[in-house]
Amino acid sequence: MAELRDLFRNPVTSELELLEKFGRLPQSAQRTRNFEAFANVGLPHRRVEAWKWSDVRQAVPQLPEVGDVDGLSTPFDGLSGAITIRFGAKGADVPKTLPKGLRLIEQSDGQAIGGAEDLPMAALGAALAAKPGALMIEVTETPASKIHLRFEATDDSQFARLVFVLRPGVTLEVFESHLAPAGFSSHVVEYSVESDAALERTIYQRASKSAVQVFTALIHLNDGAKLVQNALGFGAKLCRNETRVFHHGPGANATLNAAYLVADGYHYDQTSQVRHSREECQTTQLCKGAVADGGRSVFQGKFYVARKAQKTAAEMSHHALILENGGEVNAKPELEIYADDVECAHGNTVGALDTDALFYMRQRGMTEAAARALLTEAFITETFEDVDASVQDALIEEARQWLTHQA
Amino acid sequence: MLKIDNLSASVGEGDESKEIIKGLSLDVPAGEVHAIMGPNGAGKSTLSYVLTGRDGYEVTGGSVSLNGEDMLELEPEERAAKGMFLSFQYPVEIPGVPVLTFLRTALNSQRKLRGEEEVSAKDFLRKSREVAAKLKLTPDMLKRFLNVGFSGGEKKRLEIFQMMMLEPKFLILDETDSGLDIDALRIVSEGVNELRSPDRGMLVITHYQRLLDHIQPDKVHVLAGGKIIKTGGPELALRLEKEGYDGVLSEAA
Repeated sequence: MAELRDLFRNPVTSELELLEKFGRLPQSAQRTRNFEAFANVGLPHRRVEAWKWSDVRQAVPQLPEVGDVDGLSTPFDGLSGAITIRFGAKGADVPKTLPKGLRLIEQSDGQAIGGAEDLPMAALGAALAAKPGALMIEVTETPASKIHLRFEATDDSQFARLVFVLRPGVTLEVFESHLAPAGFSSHVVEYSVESDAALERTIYQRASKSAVQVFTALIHLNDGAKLVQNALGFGAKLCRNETRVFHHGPGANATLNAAYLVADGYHYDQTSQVRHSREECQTTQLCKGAVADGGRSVFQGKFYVARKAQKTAAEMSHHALILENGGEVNAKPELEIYADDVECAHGNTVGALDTDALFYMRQRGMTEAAARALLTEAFITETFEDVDASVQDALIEEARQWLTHQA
Repeated sequence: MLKIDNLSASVGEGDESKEIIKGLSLDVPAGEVHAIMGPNGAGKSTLSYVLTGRDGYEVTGGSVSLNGEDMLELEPEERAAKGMFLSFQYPVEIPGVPVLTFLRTALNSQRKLRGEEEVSAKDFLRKSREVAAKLKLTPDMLKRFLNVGFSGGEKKRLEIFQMMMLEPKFLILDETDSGLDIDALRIVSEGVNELRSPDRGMLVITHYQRLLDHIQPDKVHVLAGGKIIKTGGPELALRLEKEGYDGVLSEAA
C-alpha cells in the first residue's frame, strides 16, 4: 500500500480515500495492475492533455458526502422484452436466468484494462469494480432479447466493470443508461466483437448537477465486425462519455453518433478515439450538441490510421449550437494518418441559431421560444437517424422536454 | 383594414442606424389589393419587415394598425396571429423540419395565441392535400424539410401553400414574382387570387408590372425615398413599365 501511495504525486484527499477503498477490497493481480495505472496519473486534471477541459481532480477534491438521493429515470426502462442488468451502490444485479445465447462468466480475476496507462479513469473503475474481477458475458448466439445495462450512481463513489464477448456472426443490442443522481463514479464496459458480429449500442446519460461521472467503453472490432453507437447526454457537474474503438480486422465498420444538450451548471464531455489498424475499415462519426448559458461541452475526437490500414474511409463531424451568450464549447478533432491511400475528413462548427430562420418562423406564428426549440430539436435529432426504432421517439421526446424546459 | 400613418423607421443600431422609411402613409381597405412599386433601394422590403416586426428595424414615428388594432407594439408572432402574413422574397430554409410539421406547428401556435383550439391532425391533413393539389405540390415535397433543396419557383409555391393553409387576414407579397417562370407565375397568381375576398386585404410589392397582369390591383403606389410619391390605378403600373421610374420621380421632385 505504501508503494501504491508513493505513485501519487501530491495526492489530494479523494485520491487517498480511493487508495483506502482499494485496500479494503480483496487483492488480485488485475486490480493491482489497474490501480497502479490509475495512481501513476491520479485523478486526471487540466495538465493531462486528454483531460485539459475536464478536470476531474478539481471536481472531486474529496469524495462527496451523499445523503438520500432520488433516483433518475431513463427511457430505456420502458423497453419491452429487454433484460436489465443493474449496477448500483451494492454492485451488479444480474438476472438469474439469461436469455439463450448469453452466458455469464464471473471471473475471479481477469485481465487488466488494455492500455490502462492511457485511461486513468477506466483503470480506476476496473480496480475498484464492485464484483471481484470482471463480470463477463459471452454471447454465443444472437439473443431474442435486448440488453439494458442500467448504471445508477448513488454512493459517494461507485465503480463497475463489465466485459462482453460477441462470438462470430452474432448480433447484440445493448442499451446503456448511465444515471448519476449523486457521487463520483467510473464505469467501464468492454466489448470484443469477433468476426462479422454486430453490436448496436445506445446510450442515455443523465445526472444531477452535483455528480461527477465518467464512463468508458473499449470496443474491439475484428474482421468485418460492425458497430453502431448512438448517444444522448445531458451532462453532470462533470460527465465524460469516452469511447475507444479498435479496428483490428479488415473491413470493420463503425458508426458513432452522439447528441448532447447541456444546461446551466452542467458539463458534458464526448471523447472518442478510433484506431484503424487494418485495411478497408470505415468509421462515420457525427456529434451534435447545444449548450445553454452557463453550460459547457467538450468534444474530442481522434482518428488514428496505421500505415497498414490502406483504404480506410473515416469521416468525423462535430457541430455545436451555442443557445445563448455564455455557453461554452470546446472542440478538438484530430486525424493522425500514416497510410497513403485513405479517405479521411473532419469538420467542426460552432454557431448560434439562424436569425433569418427564427424571424421566418415567428412570422408564421411561432413564439420565439417555440421557434428556438424547434430549430434546436431539428438540429440535434439528425444524429438519431440510426437509433433503434424502439427508442427513437423516446429520445426525441427527451430532447424536446429539455428544450421546453430551457425555453 | 391596414392603416399606415406617417410611418418612419430606421435600420441598424447606433451610428450605423439609417432612416429608410420617411413618413409613409397608406390605407388598404378590406377587399382591396394594392401594389407598391418602386426602384431598388426605395424601402420596399424594409416596409414589409417593419410591418411584420422584424428585429433590427426600429420604428421612429407614426403608426400601423390592422382593423383598428395597433400592430407596432406586438411581437412578430402576435402580429401573425392577428392575421399578418408576409410572403418572403427569399423564403428561408429550415433544415430538419418537414413542411407539414412546420406548418401545423405554426397554425396551432397561432390558434393558441388567439385562444382557439388546435386543429385536428385529420382536418389538417385533408386540407393540406386539397391545397397542395391546387398548387401542384406533390405529397413527397410536403415531407421534405421546408425550403431545403427546393427551386426558387417551388419555394414561392410553398409560400402560397402556407398562405392558403393559414388563411391570414392581410397578405404582404414581397417580390413574389422574382425567380418564377411563366407557369409558376400563373400557379402562384391563381393561388393569390383565390384568397381575394371582401374581408381580406393585400399589399403586393413588386419591381415589375408583369405580376400585376395576373393579380389585378385596385391601386398602385410608387414608393421612393422612403415614402409614397404617387398613387394611381392599374394604368400607373403600365406607365411605369413603359417609361421607367424616372418620369414619376421627376414629377414628384
